[in-house]
Amino acid sequence: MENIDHEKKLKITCYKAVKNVCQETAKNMGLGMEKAATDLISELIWKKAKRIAEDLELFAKHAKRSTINADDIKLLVRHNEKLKEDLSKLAEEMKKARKSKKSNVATDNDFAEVDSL
Amino acid sequence: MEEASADAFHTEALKQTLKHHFKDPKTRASDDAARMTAHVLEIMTREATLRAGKVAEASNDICIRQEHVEKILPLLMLDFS
Repeated sequence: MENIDHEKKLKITCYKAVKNVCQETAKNMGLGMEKAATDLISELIWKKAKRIAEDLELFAKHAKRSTINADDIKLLVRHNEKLKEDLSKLAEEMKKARKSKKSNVATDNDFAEVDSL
Repeated sequence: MEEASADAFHTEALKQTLKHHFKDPKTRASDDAARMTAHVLEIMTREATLRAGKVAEASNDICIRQEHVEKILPLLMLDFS
């Protein structure tokens, strides 16, 4: 029983997130969007998330890992040029953000702020 | 505009969603992986809405309806497969 509730909660969270993105996008186009339309896209995304999870798990397993990492996502989107670019950039940004958090050495950005004083 | 990606699909919720579908209980997704997955799902959602919106506009409708979404699904699935 608990398993069903947990899945329901996750699904509702997914539907909410999709609805928000849909309505923002529709608003930017100056259009309304009916519930049946956002529900349909939500269902698609929910199913896609399952597919993605299964694929990612297989990729990581193939590389003898239990933890799915950025490389697995890049493999996932290998057929889509634009997504490949976007995600490589995103991965780079996240890597940089982690590096600059770890080191205490000032970065170029820090010096730029000092100069402006 | 790009940073909005991090917010729509929350990393923690997505991690749990992915974990729910894993076959091996040991499998987990890193934070980076979850954020990147969130990005993919958000792009897919935006693209679906944009394309359905264009169909709605072409039909002189000011509201995106289920039938508009249905029309764009096949190509969308191909583009994101």
